[in-house]
Amino acid sequence: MREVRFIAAVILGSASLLAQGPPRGPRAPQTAKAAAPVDFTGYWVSPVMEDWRWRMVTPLKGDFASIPINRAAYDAGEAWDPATDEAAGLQCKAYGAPALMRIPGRLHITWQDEQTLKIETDAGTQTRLFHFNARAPANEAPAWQGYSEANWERPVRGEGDPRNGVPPIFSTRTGTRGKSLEVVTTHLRAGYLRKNGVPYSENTMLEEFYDYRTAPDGTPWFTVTTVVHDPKYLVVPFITSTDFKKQPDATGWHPTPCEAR
Amino acid sequence: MNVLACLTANALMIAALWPAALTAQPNRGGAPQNFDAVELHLIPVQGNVYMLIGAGGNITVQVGSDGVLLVDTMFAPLAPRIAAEIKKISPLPIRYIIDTHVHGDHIGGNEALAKMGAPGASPTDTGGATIIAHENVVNRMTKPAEKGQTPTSTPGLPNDEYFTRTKDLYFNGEPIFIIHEPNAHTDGDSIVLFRRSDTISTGDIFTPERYPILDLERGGSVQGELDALNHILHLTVPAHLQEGGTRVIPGHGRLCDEAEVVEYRNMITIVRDRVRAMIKKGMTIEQVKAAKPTLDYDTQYGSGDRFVEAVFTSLNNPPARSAN
Repeated sequence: MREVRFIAAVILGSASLLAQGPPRGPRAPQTAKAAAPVDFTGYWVSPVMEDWRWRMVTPLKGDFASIPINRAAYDAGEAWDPATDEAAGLQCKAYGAPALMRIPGRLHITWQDEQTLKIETDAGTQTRLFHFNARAPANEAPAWQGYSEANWERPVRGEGDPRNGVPPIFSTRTGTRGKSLEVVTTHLRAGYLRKNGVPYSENTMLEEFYDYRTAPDGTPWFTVTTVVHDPKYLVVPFITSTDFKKQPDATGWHPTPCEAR
Repeated sequence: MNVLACLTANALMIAALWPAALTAQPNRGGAPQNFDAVELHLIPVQGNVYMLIGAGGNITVQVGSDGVLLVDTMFAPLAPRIAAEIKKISPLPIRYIIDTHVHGDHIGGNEALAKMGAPGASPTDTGGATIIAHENVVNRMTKPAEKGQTPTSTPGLPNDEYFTRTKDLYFNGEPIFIIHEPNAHTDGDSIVLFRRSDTISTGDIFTPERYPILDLERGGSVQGELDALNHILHLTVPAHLQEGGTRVIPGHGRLCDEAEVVEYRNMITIVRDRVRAMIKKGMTIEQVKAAKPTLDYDTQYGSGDRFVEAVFTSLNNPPARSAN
């Protein structure tokens, strides 16, 4: 059997070499925009289908349920005082990248340039920049939205590729790999995971997976799975998934400033 | 039920039970110090179903032209007063008692209340009400104290046990489904669905004001608990854009609807996943407890230490699935 496999591999390899034709010159790498497997641009709205009590209203002080906080986070949450934040000009503490996609509202996604995808939110009037083929500069200053490195998530060869029907048996996560965007955000300014003062620290690392799909009625949707890693305040990573539905235009786009309460 | 309504309902219930709570202090399976101080409150639920609140587990009362059906019976010393409360809404005898599980705060009044009743469709030796339970409840109640001993006859032993997934009966003009939920709170849990009254009595599978007690010694498990809650959610239907719909009578605590079961199911799922993640990291039970994986929920459900320990043990040593 081993010999048969070897012979088959030699034949296939030869055929493959013959099919390639004359050698090509070096090709310029595709830009992120050109390589995009799906189109995330446009206006999107976040239907609130879960966690209404924490997303549609500011929860009561001390309502930390569902966030895997440690004692330090608990104490910080108990000390939450929105008036102090307002006085210090920190109304946007609950609009940082680890919390932003969970806030009800709309997104406007565009390409800022060939290598940078821009997400603007109407809630809090925030802007996130996803940098492809780039690393965070060493002197990058902490910010509410941090510095985001992005990649188109490709299926591992032979895994999870919908074109060949191979199930993602070796994948580390589920999702529509091949139509997805993965983003890692660091250099964050400390803020709140929830508006009632549940904290995340400046050492937080945020992982996100944007999975694009099309509903049976043809409407594009995406689901962003957000994984917040913060050893300072969380006992395990805090994971949420949030859905967005494509909108035909800017109707309903109402930019509002950050609010601390 | 939204947060404000929940808080309001909680406040009303605390106010109603405060004097009793101060003196009675009921706990799991343990009797209050002073039964005379226990206040009983009978409240209408939906259709012909009522809920009797006092010490121990909640009692579900269904009344109609055929007689009275009870789900659980609290403690034996309360039986005369329970009977008096029931007389306020029906002069007819108790014909059925359904035990949701084996714990004493739910079946303590079996014997006394059955004696006050009359047989249901299945006549019994005693002439009293028919007591229905899953066979694992009977097995637990007749388990000998020592190996080799002859099992003793426990007072109030069910005399109409079932061993299938469900048992049903038609009583007071409505279908009643008794459904076994394997390895949840215990290995003998039953939930009771009143189909016309659109009400489910859950026993201690659902206790909205405290973490679930996974009685691992009696076959309970965290996965069985979640399976049971998901099944309850499958049976409940919320009213459109409002509170209500299918009512859920918990083993302990306030009257609820589907939304509160969702919250509870989500909490248990989240805590299970956290503990599982810690186990995968190689953490010991002491390390897991020290990490306080329920800290965010403790303000709502009390100390989570015992629950975390049970989840840890249950994930590491899941029970053999009990019979349906």
